[in-house]
Amino acid sequence: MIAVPERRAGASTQVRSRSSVVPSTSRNSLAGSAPNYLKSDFLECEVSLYLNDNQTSIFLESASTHGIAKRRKTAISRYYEDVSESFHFSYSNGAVSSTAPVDGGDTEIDIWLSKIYAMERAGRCRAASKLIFTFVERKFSEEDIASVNLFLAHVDLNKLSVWSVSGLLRVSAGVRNLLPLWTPCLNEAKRVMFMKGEDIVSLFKGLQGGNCK
Amino acid sequence: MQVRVAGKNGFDDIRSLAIAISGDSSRRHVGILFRPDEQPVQLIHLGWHGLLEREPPSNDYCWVSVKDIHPVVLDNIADWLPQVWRENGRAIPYSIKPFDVDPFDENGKLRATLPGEGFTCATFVLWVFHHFKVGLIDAGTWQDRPDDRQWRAWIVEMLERTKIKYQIPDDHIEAQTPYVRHAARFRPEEVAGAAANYQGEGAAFRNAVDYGIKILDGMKQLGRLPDPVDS
Repeated sequence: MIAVPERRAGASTQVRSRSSVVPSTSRNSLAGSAPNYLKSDFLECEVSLYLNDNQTSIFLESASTHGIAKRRKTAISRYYEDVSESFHFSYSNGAVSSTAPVDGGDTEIDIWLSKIYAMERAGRCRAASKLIFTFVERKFSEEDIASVNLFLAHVDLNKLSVWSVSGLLRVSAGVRNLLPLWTPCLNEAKRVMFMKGEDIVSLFKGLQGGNCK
Repeated sequence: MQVRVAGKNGFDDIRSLAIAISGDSSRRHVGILFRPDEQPVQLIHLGWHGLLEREPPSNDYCWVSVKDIHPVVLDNIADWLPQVWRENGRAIPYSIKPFDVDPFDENGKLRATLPGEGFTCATFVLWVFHHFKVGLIDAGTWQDRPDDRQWRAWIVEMLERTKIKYQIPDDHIEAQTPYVRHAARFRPEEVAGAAANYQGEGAAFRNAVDYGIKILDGMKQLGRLPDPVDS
């Protein structure tokens, strides 16, 4: 199962590293610390998110150790297994870190992202947000939730307009429990949009926990 | 809250999204006016079983703007609605039996429905907003009124009468019968009023009723609430 961010008072979180390689073209912009990926084309990718919480951890429990692998392979359990193979996230000292091994799948995401960024640069912000809808639509129709999570890991929120950021989070909010990076992405989006002068309370109303009535 | 009609330039005053309402003093109908990116305003509304319509709005519609929702979120909804249309076409069931959970998947496609499940014109609007985490009404406060039951009975009767023309399965109608006795009815004017007065939380029943009365008053003042024509 996926553990959503939970506060762990007084405990520093162990990051379980996995070696990972991603092409430099998929530089993760959620990264905040000195990224290794600037050094070569295929390097370790570390995702860092800045959050207010000091010691919080997101991690995916191993599907195999928790018996998920024994279950019937529904789309959801396949997703758990795929993602648990691919991600491990951990908050520590105000940042969340992740190793995200990507083997070929990121190329497609890079293409999507480059198209989206190009539209944003051209000022076609709503068209860019629609392209995000299309991406999410396609991936969900393929039951490829892991790719949506990879998208969240790779997207540079600083390069997205407010339309795209809001659209990405709202259209994927219904399955946020299946997207380990959704909540970190929301938190990062709040920071980025606040820095851009947006009214983040209004913009993200309804997204933070609970159900709308 | 101002009830408006199409101006000289139709609905061009609508930036991205508004609530459309029409009807007479007996029954109303509600839908969503939306402006997809760089396109003219369109209307999407559930007319009847299998009749989700996306069309240029008729000037017969009144409209109210949506309050206190970030304009970017309204743009997002406006840009998502064509996807709902693309995924579902007109094939949206009409029903008084409410959904318990968001019936739209992430693609905007209606999830597989059980017999009897569907939308009214009003609940279609509510669920579209809900999908974007905007709850226009507080369903937990809703109360049933005597004429709500009459309305539900009439709907089921009309579904039965029109089942051949609109290819409505018998089990879809039968599954709604128990809900004639009790099911929350969100009236079109209450949904429009809740959107026009949204303040970050869904409107409670009492407030929504008051908002609905104001919507009807506004329509009346504009001469858009005629007496029903007997058929």
